[in-house]
Amino acid sequence: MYHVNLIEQFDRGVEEMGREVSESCVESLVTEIVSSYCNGFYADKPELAARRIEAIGFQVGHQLSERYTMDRPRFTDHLEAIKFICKDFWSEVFKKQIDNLKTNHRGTFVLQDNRFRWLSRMSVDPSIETLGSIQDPSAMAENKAAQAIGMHLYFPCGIIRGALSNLGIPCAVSADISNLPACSFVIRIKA
Amino acid sequence: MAPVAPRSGDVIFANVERVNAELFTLTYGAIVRQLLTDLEEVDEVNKQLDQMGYNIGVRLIDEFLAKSNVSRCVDFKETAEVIAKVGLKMFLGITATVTNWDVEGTTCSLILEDNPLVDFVELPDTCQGLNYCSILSGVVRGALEMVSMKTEVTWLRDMLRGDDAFELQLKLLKRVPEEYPYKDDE
Repeated sequence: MYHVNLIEQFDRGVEEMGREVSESCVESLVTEIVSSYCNGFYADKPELAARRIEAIGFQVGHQLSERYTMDRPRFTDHLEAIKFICKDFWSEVFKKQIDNLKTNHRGTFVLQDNRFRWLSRMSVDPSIETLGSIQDPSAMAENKAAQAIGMHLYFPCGIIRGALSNLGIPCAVSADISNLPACSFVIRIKA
Repeated sequence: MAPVAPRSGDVIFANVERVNAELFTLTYGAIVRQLLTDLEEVDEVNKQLDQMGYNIGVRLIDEFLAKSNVSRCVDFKETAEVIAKVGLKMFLGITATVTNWDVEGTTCSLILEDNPLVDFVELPDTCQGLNYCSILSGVVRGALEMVSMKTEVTWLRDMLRGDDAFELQLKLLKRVPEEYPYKDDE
């Protein structure tokens, strides 16, 4: 994995914010998405719940990316698009940039947020730290807390996948919380 | 003497963590869209949105009380004013006008001057009957229940359905005696 420098320029970020709402509003919605799908209609089917939560995120990411790129030229390559996600996009959604970007230069990118906002208010069971990657929802079934966090992360994974899909880049996105409170998002671009 | 309830939520809103409203609006829109796909029946979607709102209200009341310094309201009129000027402002950055009081002082309407839930939203014909803003009525009902007021909260006018304003009716059904808050699932 090669490290990519993200601090070469500060385009937007400080731009005037439009309309705002309290952060609690967004957190409340995310919490309700997860609990409605995990405890409600798909209580016995975590895989289906995960897919729905991811789909909601995808929709959001797709639309946000559309809005945020309206006035800019098309990205010339994958790395440019990923850098946009790490900087401008992340700043709009999470009010900070991605802290660390790595790539193998063969279509895999690892975006690390050292203090991921949507996990910072969740109480985290230390036993989860050994859990590592949260790729398999059924494997998490026995650990409720891990499952809750894992389910929460399907939403931002969907947002990233939706944003990149809007930029013409089909990919798979997973989250890795083996270094809490840091959270890494692994993007694998489909050839 | 009890502290006077703040007349406006401007200062509180300026001090809470805020995010850009697009994220909120689009997330809500994506939830409604997914529910329409999964639940198929518009009535079921309305119910689910209301339930989600209720759950949110039950939780948000704590943050509201902690940050607003609002103490017990003397009557339902004051409660409605606090929701319109402090509660809506603190979370959504908007305010409402309280109007249409009945003689008993138990039913009134909030006219929303603005509604971030519906930015970029247009309802297709297949969604007639969808109460798009059900989540907000649920939030108000859930929050009030946590401070001992059983209410019925209904949208009377909805600009998405062609009305000229957003009008949310609050009807106080009864005051329940103080007891340990429980979660009323069904």
